[in-house]
Amino acid sequence: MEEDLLWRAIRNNDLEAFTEMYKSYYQFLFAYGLRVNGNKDLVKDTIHELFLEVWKSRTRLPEVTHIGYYLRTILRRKIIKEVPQQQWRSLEDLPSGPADPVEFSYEEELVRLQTDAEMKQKVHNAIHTLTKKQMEVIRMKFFDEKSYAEIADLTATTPRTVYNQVYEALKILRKCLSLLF
Amino acid sequence: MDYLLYEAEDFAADESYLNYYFRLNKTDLVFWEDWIRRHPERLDVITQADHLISLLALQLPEQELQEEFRRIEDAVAAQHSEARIPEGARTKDDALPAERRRPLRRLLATIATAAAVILAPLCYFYFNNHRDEARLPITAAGTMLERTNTTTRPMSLSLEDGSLVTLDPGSKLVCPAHFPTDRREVYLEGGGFFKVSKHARQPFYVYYGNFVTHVLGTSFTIRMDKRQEQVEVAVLTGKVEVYKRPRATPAADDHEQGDRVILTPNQRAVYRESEQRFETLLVEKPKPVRPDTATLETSAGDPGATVFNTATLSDIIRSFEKIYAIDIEVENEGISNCHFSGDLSNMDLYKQLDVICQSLNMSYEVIGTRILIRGRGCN
Repeated sequence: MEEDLLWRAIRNNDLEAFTEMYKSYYQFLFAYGLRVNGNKDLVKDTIHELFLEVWKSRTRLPEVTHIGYYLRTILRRKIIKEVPQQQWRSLEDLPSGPADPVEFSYEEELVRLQTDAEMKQKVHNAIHTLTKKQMEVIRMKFFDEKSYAEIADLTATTPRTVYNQVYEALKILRKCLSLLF
Repeated sequence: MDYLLYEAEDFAADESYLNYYFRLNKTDLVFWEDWIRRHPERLDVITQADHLISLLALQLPEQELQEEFRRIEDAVAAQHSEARIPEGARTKDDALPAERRRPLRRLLATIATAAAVILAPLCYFYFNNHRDEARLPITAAGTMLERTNTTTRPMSLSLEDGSLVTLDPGSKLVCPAHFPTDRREVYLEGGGFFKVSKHARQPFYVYYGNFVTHVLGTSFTIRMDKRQEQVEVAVLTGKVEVYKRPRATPAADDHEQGDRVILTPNQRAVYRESEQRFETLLVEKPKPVRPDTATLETSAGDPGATVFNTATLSDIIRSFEKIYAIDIEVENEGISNCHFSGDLSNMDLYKQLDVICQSLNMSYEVIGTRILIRGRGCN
């Protein structure tokens, strides 16, 4: 469904539309939330509350042109509100732990997201097999969702080169993770 | 560009495929959805690519996403039933009890009944909106994978838990992208050979319509025959339990058993609609249960294959029972000591019995899951 139709449907009590929105935007919001605060559970809980509130107040929702940006903004605000003020300021003093807000590290987050111990280990090993350069292009391609053209500009190479780097890194990753599905 | 030659990393590195995955671009979305639908045999590779991408994009793993999905579903439902939870009383611990698997079973029941079923609105959470099309392994929550073997040869699939399924031509298997922690459930239409990996706390169930096969062992072939309402299970190792769910609403406790049987190797169950119960029989072609017990020891101490030299009938029967795991009885004890000599190599069980009986002037009959040998005396 087109975005504005989707939003309008939700404002009109359409549960199916609400579901579609949930499914369509969840991962988008999750990735964004992780950048605001690396605590996975905090992000999950906040997204849950966000959607629940949207549903509860569905008839009173404002007009929205871009659902993603709208939800994202609210999510950011909510996450920041969840974490007590002093914890943000004294970030340097606090030891890093699951309950504390952490600075965003892509590599660490990759490992942390895995709940299975074996998977955790495999991801950890996989990351350390890749070079810094490979890690960087992988992050830009899959997490920052940049195109090959954009990455080429940022790294002063050609799209072809970037593609090859990504491809090589993926091959290594697949082998390390021995994905058997 | 021959996408059929693509491996997981090819897809994951392909900009167009990534546009489809992240739904950034309508053209790519439509193209890949269609391509995947037309090439179910590449679903394995596609799934690998999706897992790679999902991992690197820091997405919430599928299983957790499904849990979150259920969480919002319940929360919205609570809203609907006017169960207002005061702000202060709401806890952060929304962990769901293990029994919360109704939505999946409702889905399975719905696939099984081809007719249109009126679903409670909550069920929408588990359907993507393309209800009339093959389900695709998109990354939205509630993902079900569906594979149909449209080829003329058996098709091998591996499931998330390491189990292997070899689908017969024309058969279909549906399974969730991620198994919940307490069970593994798949839906089968047609037939296939299963090699189920052992996970004691995750029993494996195969559904077809109102039939459920609960796997207690490891390797077996299941054939569900729609026409005759017959389930044939040829178990190589272990056993399976087959039952029919009462035709109540799927929302009832689905594992309340209407009638059930436990099948051991070389047995098959036929559901008799008229009597509303199962009948257990032997399979058409009994196979040795464990290949390494396929060597017989004759009474002459010959460790050879199936050549007998004055072996007694009771020895032979004992060996057969061990190899085929089938009960064999003699009607008349006197004939147990009759001797038989002969070469029974390369014959299936019934052929071997034919030869023995002919030689000793006896006969045998398959009664249910047992074989009865009759004779008046040794030759």
